[in-house]
Amino acid sequence: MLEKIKIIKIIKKLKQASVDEGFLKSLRSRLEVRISANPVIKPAEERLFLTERSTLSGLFFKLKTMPIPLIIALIAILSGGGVTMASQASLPGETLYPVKILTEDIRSVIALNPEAKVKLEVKFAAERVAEVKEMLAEKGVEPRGLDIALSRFQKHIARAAEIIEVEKQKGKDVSKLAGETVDNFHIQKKAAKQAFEDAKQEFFTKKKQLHDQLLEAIKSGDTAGQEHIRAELADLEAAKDEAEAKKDVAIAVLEAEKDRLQDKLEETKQQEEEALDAAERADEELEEREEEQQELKEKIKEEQAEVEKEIREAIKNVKEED
Amino acid sequence: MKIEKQFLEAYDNYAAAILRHIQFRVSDQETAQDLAQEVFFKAWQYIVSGREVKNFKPFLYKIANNLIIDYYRQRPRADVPIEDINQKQISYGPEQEKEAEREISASLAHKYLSLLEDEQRQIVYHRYVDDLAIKEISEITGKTANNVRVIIHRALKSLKDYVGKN
Repeated sequence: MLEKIKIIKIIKKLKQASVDEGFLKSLRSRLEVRISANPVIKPAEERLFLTERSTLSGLFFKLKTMPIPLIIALIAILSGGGVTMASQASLPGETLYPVKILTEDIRSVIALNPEAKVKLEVKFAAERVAEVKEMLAEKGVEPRGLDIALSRFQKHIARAAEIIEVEKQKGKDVSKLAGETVDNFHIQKKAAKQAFEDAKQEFFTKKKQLHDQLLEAIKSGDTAGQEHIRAELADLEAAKDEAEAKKDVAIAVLEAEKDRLQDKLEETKQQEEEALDAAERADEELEEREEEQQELKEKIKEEQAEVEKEIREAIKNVKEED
Repeated sequence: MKIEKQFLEAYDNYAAAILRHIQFRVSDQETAQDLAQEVFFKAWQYIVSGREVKNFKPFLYKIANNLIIDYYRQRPRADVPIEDINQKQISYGPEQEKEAEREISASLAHKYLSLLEDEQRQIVYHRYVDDLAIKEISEITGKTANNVRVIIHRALKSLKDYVGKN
């Protein structure tokens, strides 16, 4: 019995096997997009969808299904409220930041077509990178703010990729949009890397300053000062490592989504090439068949001529015998 | 609660475990991630088609099982020796002090499971790693609850015999 419990305990250790958290986050965002693109429609709503004839009525339907506070906020935003305008320059963690995010979410909801939605997501992703850059430059590594901006950044990227995939599955030609989005992802990646690179340079400058101060403190025998500077140096190192780790996660997510889109593009190209190949093969087969038929016709003609010749000779022979 | 919210909640509760389960059973992490994604996309498609899901956990595992079976139908299992599967592909958490000990236990767990037949391995994993109830395993595998119990009992007995001999 004891042995059995031990075996079960060992097997249970497999629960600790790690999984890729970045992938799970990205999949959740894609799932959210899929859910909103393909909602469960209740019979009453289904009727509304079926009678939906114009883009305008589609927009009304969207508004109808929105929660009331969202509609009020939408009206405030569309009417160009001062708060909304002011919120646009806010950073994560600041009071007006939720308004900025709400504005973006509403713009995304009311975007009239998938292409516009993808472009907005890419634009918002760029805005998050700009926020990261500003935060790093102004406040240094502020983990909460960076987490907010980077997790939203990942969401925007995943949403853009997912919308394209959903469209592709519907049979739409998304090669141009996917190509543009891949290029944009590439730009975002460079911008994000640059933002962290700038911050890294700033770390090195600060580190050098602290080292100089430490040297001074050692020379003057200021032990309390030395301790303080050492603690600051340790904090600086930790902040640098943290920023580095966050950058790696953001870049990895971006790379994964970029690869996914590129795979889709390749897939489309391959399908097009295969279709082209199949068409060419069909043409060749047709030509071959026509040639065969031609040869057959000529052969039949020759045979007919030969048979006629034989008949003529036979007739001639019969006449001569007579 | 709205079905959309319930579904995302089910994702939050079970996605990591489902991915871990698939990683255990297929050859590489990339395939496992593709299949895990497919599990949730298919599950949502099922819900959208108007059908009801009473218990998300066995429902998601059932889709995962079907996808794994399809995957191996397209690609013969002989390509992937079970001993190689997870020891190479799965890395374990970062806590330094217990890592070595954990790796030894995990590789021992892999060793034990590799000694079992496919069906036994799957059911034992469902029971002790996925923490599924006998009734849920029966729902996923299509076997009766008694049958599941017997399979687990036999699997543990054969492992006990193995440990005794070695």
